[in-house]
Parts: sequence; C-alpha cells; structure tokens
Amino acid sequence: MNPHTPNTQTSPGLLTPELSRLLNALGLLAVGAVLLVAFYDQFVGGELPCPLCILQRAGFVGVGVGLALNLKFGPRASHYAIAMLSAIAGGVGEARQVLLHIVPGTGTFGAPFLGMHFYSWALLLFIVIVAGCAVLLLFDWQFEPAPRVHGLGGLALLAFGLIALLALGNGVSTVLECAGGLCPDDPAGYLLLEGEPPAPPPTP
Amino acid sequence: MPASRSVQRRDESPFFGFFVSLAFAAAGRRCFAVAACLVSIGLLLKLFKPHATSSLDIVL
Repeated sequence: MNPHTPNTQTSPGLLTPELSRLLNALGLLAVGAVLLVAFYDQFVGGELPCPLCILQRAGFVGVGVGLALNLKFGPRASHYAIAMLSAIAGGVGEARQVLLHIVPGTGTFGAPFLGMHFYSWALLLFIVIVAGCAVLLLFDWQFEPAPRVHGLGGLALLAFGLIALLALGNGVSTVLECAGGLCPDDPAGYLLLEGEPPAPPPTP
Repeated sequence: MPASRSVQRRDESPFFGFFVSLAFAAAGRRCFAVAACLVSIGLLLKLFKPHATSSLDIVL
C-alpha cells in the first residue's frame, strides 16, 4: 500500500472528510456573515465602500470560494491554498489601509464597529483565516484519495448559495458604484445611477 | 490616468471571476473553477496597485 494513501481500514483520525466538510460549511457561513454585515453597513448605514474596502470584500469572497470548493469536491490542500491566497491578497490591501490611517492626523474611514474600524477587523479576520486554514491542513485524514463531486444539500447548499449570491451581489453593487471602471478614491454615490458628481469649485 | 487604462481595470472584475468559479464548481468542473479563482486572485492583486494610496485622497 502506498504509504501516502490514507488507510480507510483503520481509525479515520480526528478530522474525517465529513467533519471537515461540516467545518468548511460553517466557515463559509461565517464568511457570508462578514459580507452581509458589510452590505448592511452599505445599504442601511449608508456608508459606501472605499476602493480598498471593495478589494477587502473580494478577498473574503475568494476565501469563500476556496471553502466552497471543499464542500463540492471534498477537502483538498489546493482548496485551502486558494482560501489562504485570497486572504493574503485581501490582507495586503487591508494592511496598507491600516498603515495609511495609523499615522496621527490622517483620520479614519467609516464608523467604528465594536471599537475597531472595519478595515482593522478585516485584517484581523484575514490573519485568523490563514491561521485557521493552516491548522486544518494539519489533519491529513480529511483528504480523500481522489477528488469526487459531492451533492450539496442542507447546510452545505445554504452556504454555497449564500456565497454565490454575495459574489454576484458585490459585483453588481460595485458596477453601480464605480460605473464599470476604477472606483473613485472618495465615493460619494452610485456613479451609474447618479452620474459623475459636479466638479468642486476652483479655489482662489 | 489615461481613459483607456481605466477602462481596462474594473473593480468589479474579481467578484464576477469568483462567481464564474462558483458556477464551474456547481457544474462539477473543478479544474475550471480553480483556474477562474486563481485568475480572480490575480485581478485582485492587480487592482491593488491603482488603489494603494486611495485612502490618502479621502475627505475626512
């Protein structure tokens, strides 16, 4: 027997493929909850996301895709790698934003949430996601010998559908806000709905 | 920035890329799903460059 092939005749280990898929579904729901809070702040709180905040959301969606692949095709190291790469890509932007605002006198963007601004929370969550994926990768028994396509139902279907809707919703929202181009540095409205804002009067 | 360059870069592109990846996953096409996801991550990193200093222009 190949020493690298998990032996299904003996103890399945601490983290079985089924338990791993359950944890991935719960993680996917948690990522969806983060994106829903961002949407709530945008549409109910009236705070438009800044360009770096949009990239942060895209990073969370990418993490969700990595976890969703684990649900559909079973846990694979490559799926965790996608989640970690997305978290790193999103975290790069957030680290930049935190560093920009950490300078005294530069102010902040948006209202704080539980004592920290959204971009600080996002950076913390991205670090937690990378660490969490690394911890999950420690459990070799969750990996099935060959990829297989799982049917989605119950919690997995809910989580998969939620992240797909949020990916599409964020894409449409960004099109409305940025009119299909680069978003303005200081967004004041939905460019596609309201048109270009009037130019500020020239300063004497 | 020239208008032609701003047209090429669209902030919404990573979201639609990830959505396409999920659509491939739902269809059972793992390789295409992984490829679309990696392209989206690349787009995300590419979009970071024009926005790296955007917070400095925010009116606070």
